Parts: sequence; C-alpha cells; structure tokens
Amino acid sequence: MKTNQMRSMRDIPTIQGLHNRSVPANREKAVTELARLEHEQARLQRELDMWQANQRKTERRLQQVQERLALVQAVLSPPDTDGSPRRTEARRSSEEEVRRDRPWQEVKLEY
Amino acid sequence: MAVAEKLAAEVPVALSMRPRPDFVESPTIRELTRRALAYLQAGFAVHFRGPAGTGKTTLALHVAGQLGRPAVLICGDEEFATSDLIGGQFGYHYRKVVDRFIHSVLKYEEDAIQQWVDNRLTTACREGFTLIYDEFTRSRPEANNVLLAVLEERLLVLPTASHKHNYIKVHPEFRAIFTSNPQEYAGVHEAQDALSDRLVTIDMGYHGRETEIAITAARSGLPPEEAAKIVDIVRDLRSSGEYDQAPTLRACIMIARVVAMQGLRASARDPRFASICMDILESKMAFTTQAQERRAQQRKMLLSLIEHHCG
Repeated sequence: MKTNQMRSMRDIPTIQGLHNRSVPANREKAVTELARLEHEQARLQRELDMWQANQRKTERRLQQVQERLALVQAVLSPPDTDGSPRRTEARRSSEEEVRRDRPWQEVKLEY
Repeated sequence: MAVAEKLAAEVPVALSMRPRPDFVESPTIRELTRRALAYLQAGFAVHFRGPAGTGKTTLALHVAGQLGRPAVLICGDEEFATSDLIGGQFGYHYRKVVDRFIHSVLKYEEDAIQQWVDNRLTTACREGFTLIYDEFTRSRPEANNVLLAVLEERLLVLPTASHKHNYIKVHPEFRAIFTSNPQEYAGVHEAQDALSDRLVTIDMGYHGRETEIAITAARSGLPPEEAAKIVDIVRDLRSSGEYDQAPTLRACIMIARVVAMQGLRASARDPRFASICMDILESKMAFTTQAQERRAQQRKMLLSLIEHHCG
C-alpha cells in the first residue's frame, strides 16, 4: 500500500481494518458480514431515496418561485403593445435603476 | 421584497390630458398652441398671462396634452412652501433590533429615520413630466425659488441630508407651463424678475366673438344663433366698462347652460331668461349702499342690452 494515497483516518492501515477487508475465513464470519452489509445497503438506499425526494421537492419549489417571479416582473414592466421585441435587461442592481423604468399611475383629465 | 413594496407605495401619479368632445379649437387657439409648443420644444418654459376667463388654464392643459407626456398640475397658493413643490420629510421608519445571539450578551438597537417623500415638482423633474403651474403668482415668490435652477441649470437642488440624492438632474423631457392673472388683486404676489426672465410670456386677451359663440354653444348645447345673443349681451357689457368685475366667457356659458337645461329661449319677452341674465351679470357690479343710483343705472343698461339683443 502506498502511504501517499492516504486521505483520512479511515485510510490508515490497522489490524482491525485488515481483518475487516479480508475475505471471511469461515461460515460464521461470512454470515455476520452478510447481515451487516445487507443492513448497510438498506440504510444507504433509504438515504438515497430521501435525497432524491428532497431534490424533487426543491425542483418543484424552484419552478413555483420562477413562475411567481415572472408574474411579478410582468406587473412591473408590461410588454410593449406594438408587438416589438422588448430589450432583455440585466438584473438591476439598485432601487434607483428600477425606479427609472417603472410605469406611473395615470389619471385621465378632460379639458 | 422590501424594494418591491417600497416601489408599489411610491408609484407617481400623473395626469393624462385629452380634449373634451366639445373642445373648440379656433384659429387663434391653434396659433397660440403652435407658438407655445415651439418654445417648449426649444426647452423654454411658457407663461400664459391674461385676465380671468380668457382660457389660460385650458390652453395650458391643451398644450401639455399636445406634448404627449404625462403632466402634473400645481395650483399656486399663499400657503405654499418649497416643500409643497419638491417634497419633504414625512412620517418615520422605525427599526428595532434585539440581538441575543450570545445568551450572556444583550445587544439592543432602536432608531427612527424620517422618510423623504417626493412632491410633484420632484416627480416631474425625475420622470420627465410636464409641469403645469396654474396661477403661480398666488404662491409667495420665495416658494418658487427652487424653480430658478430647474429652468436654467436643469438641476433640482434638494435640501442637504434630507435625501440620498441631493441634486437631481432634470429629465430632458421635463417642460413647464405657467399661468397667471396680472389683473387679479386678491391673494396674488409679484413674480420675481429672476423667474419671469426665464419664462416666455404669452399675453392672452378675450377670445373673438365667433370663438366665444362656438365655445358657448359647444359647452351648453344651445344652437349657435341663441348662444350668439347671450355672447353679444356679455360682450357689450364688457365693452361698456360699467362693471367692477369683468364679465367673461364663463358668464356666457353659465347663462347658456341654464337656459338650455330649463328649455328656455334667449328672448327678452321671457322673464325667466331676463332674470337668469340679471342674476349672473348683475353680480359683476359692486354692491354698495352708497351708490344706489349708479346701481340702478347699471341695471337699466343691462335690461336695455337684453332688450336690444333678444327683443
């Protein structure tokens, strides 16, 4: 074993480590390890399922936020009525820049 | 989120002008509009000056409408201060922080910050709206000082430390239209020379007979020939000089509208028509107990005018 490949305490060779990694010498040890590994497999599978469920949940939430964001942005800057394409703007960095392009509330006055 | 909430509360309100269906645009009005637009497009502020009832405010609204930009309307007032034009510190924003991040340390902060709220001039300068300052000489001259830099240097100077931007560069589309009545003596001030010097003043007089007839007919619904009789009575009274308050186009419209609504005709033989004319036009003459004889003569003259035009 090359010592320069060690990355953590787990990689330090010990008597117990060598013992665990070696092929079971008898049936009793093989059955014990089989049971332990089956439990570990089941635990890792549960962990994987949990991560995947969390990923799906986060993706759904992200989609909802993006839809809501598009709705709010449309309220702040309605599309041009003449059908001309609207210039895509970079995300504004300050309140002052947002204020510059915002619409105003109009009150109609007949004279 | 905080920015979005703040913006929703601060969306400026502007006027969008359009002429009424019965708006009369005579050649004189068209010419005045053309001249005013030429000055405004060159970047100068325009000032319509003339006696009451000559259509200054309507013309200012019309010209502003022709510019095609939203407008804000300010009416001059004796009580006006600079803050009524530019804005001021209104209300408080409170912030309280209790920090117990480390259980043995209590950090407690509380502060109240006054909030700046823009008023109409600031909004107009920032957004490039058209400012219509009606009867601006009713405001005290010092209240209008802030307009000097706006009109000349195109810079709105706000009070120091009251706003995060103390100097606002005036929007290139910003335009200003002023109106005033030089004959008014109640509740008006002299305009300071510095401000008058920055304005292109267009003097306005009473409209011609045909225009007054057209406006009276359009605003009352009376046929033009009926409206003409009323206009002639008012114009003759005005040219006689026998009044204390000049009878204007408004008097024509008042008489004509009541006559139209009551279903009457402009006839001297109808006592109801005569009484409407007397009610509206007699008030143009001062009511004094000492000059009963003069008042009787004025009344007689008014009745003879009604008889002459509507007999």
